[in-house]
Amino acid sequence: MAVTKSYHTQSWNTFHENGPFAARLLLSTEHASMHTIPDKLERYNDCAAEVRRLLAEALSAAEGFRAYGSAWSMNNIAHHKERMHFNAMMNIKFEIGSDDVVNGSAYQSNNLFFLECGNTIKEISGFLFNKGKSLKTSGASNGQTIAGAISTGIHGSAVDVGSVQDYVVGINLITGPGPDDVVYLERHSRPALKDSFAAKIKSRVVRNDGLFNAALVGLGSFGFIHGVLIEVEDLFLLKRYVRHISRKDALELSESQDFKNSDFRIEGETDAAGHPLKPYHFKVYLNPYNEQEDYVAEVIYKKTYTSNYPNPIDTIQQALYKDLPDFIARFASTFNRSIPLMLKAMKGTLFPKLDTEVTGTLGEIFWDSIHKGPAFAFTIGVDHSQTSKALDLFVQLARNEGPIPGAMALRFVKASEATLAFTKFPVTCIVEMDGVLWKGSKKMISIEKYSQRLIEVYQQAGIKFTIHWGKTAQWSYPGLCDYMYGNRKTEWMQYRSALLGPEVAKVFTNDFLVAAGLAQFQEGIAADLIASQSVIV
Amino acid sequence: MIQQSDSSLRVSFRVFFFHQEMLGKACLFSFMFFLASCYSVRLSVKNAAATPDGPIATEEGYWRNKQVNHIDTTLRLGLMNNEVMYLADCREGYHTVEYRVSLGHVLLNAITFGKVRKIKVKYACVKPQNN
Repeated sequence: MAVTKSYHTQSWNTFHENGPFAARLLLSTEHASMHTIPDKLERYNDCAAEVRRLLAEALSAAEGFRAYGSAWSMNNIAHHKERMHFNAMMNIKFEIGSDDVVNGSAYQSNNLFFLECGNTIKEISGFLFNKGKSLKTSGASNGQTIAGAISTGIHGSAVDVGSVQDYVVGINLITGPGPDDVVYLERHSRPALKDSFAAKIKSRVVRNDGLFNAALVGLGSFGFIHGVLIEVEDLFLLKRYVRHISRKDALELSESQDFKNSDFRIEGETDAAGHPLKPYHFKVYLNPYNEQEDYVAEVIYKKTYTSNYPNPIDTIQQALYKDLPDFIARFASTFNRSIPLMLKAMKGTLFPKLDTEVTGTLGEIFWDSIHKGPAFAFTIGVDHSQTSKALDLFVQLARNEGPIPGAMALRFVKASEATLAFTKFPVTCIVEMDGVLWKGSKKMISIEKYSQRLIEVYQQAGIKFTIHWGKTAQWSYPGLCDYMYGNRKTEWMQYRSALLGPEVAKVFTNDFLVAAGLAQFQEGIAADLIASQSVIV
Repeated sequence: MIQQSDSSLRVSFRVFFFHQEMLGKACLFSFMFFLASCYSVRLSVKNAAATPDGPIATEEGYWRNKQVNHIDTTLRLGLMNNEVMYLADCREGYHTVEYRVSLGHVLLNAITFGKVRKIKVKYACVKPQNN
């Protein structure tokens, strides 16, 4: 039998130390040992039963319940003051046989893998590598669990790929204590697995595009994500170049996405006619406090896999003094005018090394990131055609009302079909600033005030924008989600209400959801909204 | 007279500051010496995830989100022994092993001719794959 341990506590914190947040009960479930239940499908179902039991307890105590894995989000989205469930040890992985795939499906069985919620991106990459396969994209690092990654919409900068949730094909949700509360969700327009597979994981099948897209970026509030079916591809290599790029070229490319006719080119990465190729990944780094400085471009091209390439990860790595980020935060809040100088001095550690080339798999290029103390990240999505305007507003705010201790970057991601994906524009330009979490002082704006000013400045300029669900923001800003998502917000709440019902919806509601204005239960939704629909193949 | 006084004062200050500077450098040197004499080295695997440290992350830096095990002991070796082995319960292998050496450890080892050894090791196991 799966075992759940209880930890009574007073506070909980994220990986990046964005709390602490008041907490009372932390639960941690581990599978039955393999010698007790050797069959992994049985162990998976045994764990599902355990989660249903935990949900029954939460319901009977009229308390909230929230699952989390690596706790990488930089806000309280993964937090609940009553019951939190740590699921990082739930990491079974299944291959999919051809017998399990719907006849006429667009998916090939050898590219489908069913993964339990607590698998991290790193674990999945390692597992897939041994099968000759690779994830299509990941975030800039690899520590997030798959359930956390899709729930908040993590993304890389793979221009034509999308975010992590965009290669999810099926979702196994637990929405309550009963056996009927285990649901396997797919799009009816793109079915993948037969009902017989759902029967193996003791789930009822719902094929419904609208429900699937709403649950895809579910903010941890669409039930307990027990497993996801993902589509992967054959192993490939990425060749990464780091080069100077002029501000003009960087912004022109960002807004046009016309790599073919750009003046910016990497030698050897051109077509037969000498035009630059479109890269797999394009990212621009910049120092917001130095107007004169060129930007730094990280450009990555996809290559056929071969085992014959040098190890891309330094064998010997040195670390900064572990107290340095904390020292910087304290120093910055007292002598905030020194921040531009500090950023200049630390450029070598903030930006990738210039004029370097390195080749590796996706898992190697977007490798481990090491915790460096409390951190913040402002991550705003805009349509790529608005890049210059959005960037200038951000930089002006940092200069006029800061400075604040962070460096900036631009990334680009294809639109997601998820109802509340923050990558909602045809190509979303992600304007981001990462840095050391600071405390406000008489001399320095607080992070809360700065978060508010960002929203005000963008709204006053009439820019349509979104904010990454797992990052720093003033989520309680009035009307923020209406501004960002319009009707999609109501649509998302309707699907959630219809799937969960009022009691369970309350269990899966936390302070974050309330602050964002997404918690309100929607009454009177027609039952057929979430009915399974006829498949289209 | 006043000038002489000023001048001698200046000289006194110079001497004072010279000594202060030397003292400062000596302190800094000693600090760096002792700091540098205490170091740690980590061996880690490249392609595996570490066992997470449970629902509350207590570690910082490299070890955050990793379940850390400590070996902190002083061993007395027999006359004929010169090797030590420690058996850990890592079901799927070690993820990271870090050993730490301080000046005190080195001195203890030296004055006991290697027969008393301070051992300070941190390690994390590979995350069980449940497959």
